[in-house]
Amino acid sequence: MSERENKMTHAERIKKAIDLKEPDRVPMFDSMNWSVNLAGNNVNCMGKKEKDVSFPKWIHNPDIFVESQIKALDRFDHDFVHSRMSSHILAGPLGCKEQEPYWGVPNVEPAIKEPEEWKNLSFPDSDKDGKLPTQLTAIRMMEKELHIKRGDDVFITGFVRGPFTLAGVVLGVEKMMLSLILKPDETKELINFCTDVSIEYIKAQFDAGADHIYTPDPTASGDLISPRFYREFAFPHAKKQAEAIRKYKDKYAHHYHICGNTMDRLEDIASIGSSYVSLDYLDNMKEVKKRIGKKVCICGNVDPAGTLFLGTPKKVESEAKQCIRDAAPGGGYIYWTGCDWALGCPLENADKFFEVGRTYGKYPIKPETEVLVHEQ
Amino acid sequence: MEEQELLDKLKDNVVEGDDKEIRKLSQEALDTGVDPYKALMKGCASGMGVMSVRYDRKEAFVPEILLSARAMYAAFEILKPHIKVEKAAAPGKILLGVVEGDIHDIGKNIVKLLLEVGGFEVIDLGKGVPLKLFVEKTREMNPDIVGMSALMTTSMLGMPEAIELIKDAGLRDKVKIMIGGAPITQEYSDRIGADGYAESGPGAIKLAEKLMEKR
Repeated sequence: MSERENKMTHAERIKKAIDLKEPDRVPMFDSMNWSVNLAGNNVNCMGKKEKDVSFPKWIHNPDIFVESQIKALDRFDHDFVHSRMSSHILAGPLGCKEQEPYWGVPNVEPAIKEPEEWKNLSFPDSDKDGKLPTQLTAIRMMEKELHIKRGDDVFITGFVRGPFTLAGVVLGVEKMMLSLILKPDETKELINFCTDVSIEYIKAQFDAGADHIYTPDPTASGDLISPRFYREFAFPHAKKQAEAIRKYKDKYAHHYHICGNTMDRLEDIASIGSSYVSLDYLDNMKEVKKRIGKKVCICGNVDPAGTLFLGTPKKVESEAKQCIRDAAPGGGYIYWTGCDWALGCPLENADKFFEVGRTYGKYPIKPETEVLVHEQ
Repeated sequence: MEEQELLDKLKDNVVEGDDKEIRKLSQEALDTGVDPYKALMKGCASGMGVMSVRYDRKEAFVPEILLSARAMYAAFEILKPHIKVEKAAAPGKILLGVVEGDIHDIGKNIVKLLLEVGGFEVIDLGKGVPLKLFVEKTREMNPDIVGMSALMTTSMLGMPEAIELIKDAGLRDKVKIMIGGAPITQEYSDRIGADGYAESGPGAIKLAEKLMEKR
């Protein structure tokens, strides 16, 4: 059987993993922002300053965007495609000024100066404000092209931030860090407002045809706040978001992520109620598997900077295999990097990353020694 | 209040992050003739030292550090005008900035505060700094060290470019370059030709001191 012939469809594979069982091979999350390199003729502009499709052009033109997602799917055979038009998709509509560099992810300025000013913010309109409608259009187009025309059940991924992180973007992270101590009640109200805003747009994305939603919550990281603050300020709102997703869609519809080191809050993260959780490369997957692997499907966590971006295909191969060996046996695992990819990650590393998932990621996972013997 | 008691209270209030109380204490230090430099270094700065240790041990996190930093600055504002210049002669001048495409500046701000407490003169370019600005300001301000930070894998790409630009401008021999931020590693630092990398805020101060010795 060739490496691309599979016993399961994309969705079957994902659901099996989320049900904590072994699919035919590890399901693979996609290359996120990096897939801009597959837009237009960009693949021939890698390493050059001038691109065929700039980052702003990519995120403002759903036709170009969707074409790149389909190219990525055909090239890598990952099990998800995504629709994210900005990691600050709801921030702009909430009043944050957004800048879109020629070749880089958009960045934003805070919209308010004090947490209680959330009361002056208006609820975004999913069909009108900022890039909200653009993202919905991309989802509808992928639904039509992939689900309907091709009969491919690949998971179309919608996106919002985790509520704590969205609040940090709206208020400014540094200001919010101080407000957690100085104005805890007002800050909770702000985070709660951001939760409600995000749920509204989550529903709109499901209505457009999304299969599940990716809700990274990087500001809730152990690199920034204590486990106690996580439990008090981030957890209840992430849980509310997770419950809304499950209620509106199903138990397979939610990917929760935190960046940085999260070993000190793993059990909390596991009980958010998401379909699966992805961990950054700083977390040891063997230990993660041991501690929460029976409770929730886990995802990750090859180093996106040191390995994918700066490493060689050889390094990608050895670390990706190690990650699969640590986390995949027994099922309940989705293969990915620890976080989003650098735009400059070389094509040969991207190819190698997904090749390892397609080949070495086939169940039952072989111990490395056996693979070596086989190859000889 | 005895001098030692006052110094201890300054330290405790930095640790607690009480910016109102520390203003009173700083004024009291001035009024009772405590050397303002001593009040800053033996009082406030040792409070930040306590917080650095707690931060490294994961007993304190960013909100607590920022609160302490706020109190430290409040004292700094009151004491600074009274500090005699020769005592505060800067061990070096550092240009700091978060490279363009990145607006995460908490790490940079902590490093800035620690450097200032350590007596360095810091020129802060802020966040999302265009690469060319690092070059222009290096030429204009003549710093000893240029420090760049990035929290995102997408923005760390700007660092080697900025170093190239500094080289092209003929300024590379005049400055030491240090880099930091979550995705940065020693390997990356070596590869792009920076002079040093530090993993943490306190590490950045040690690195800056080491780089000054090499000048």
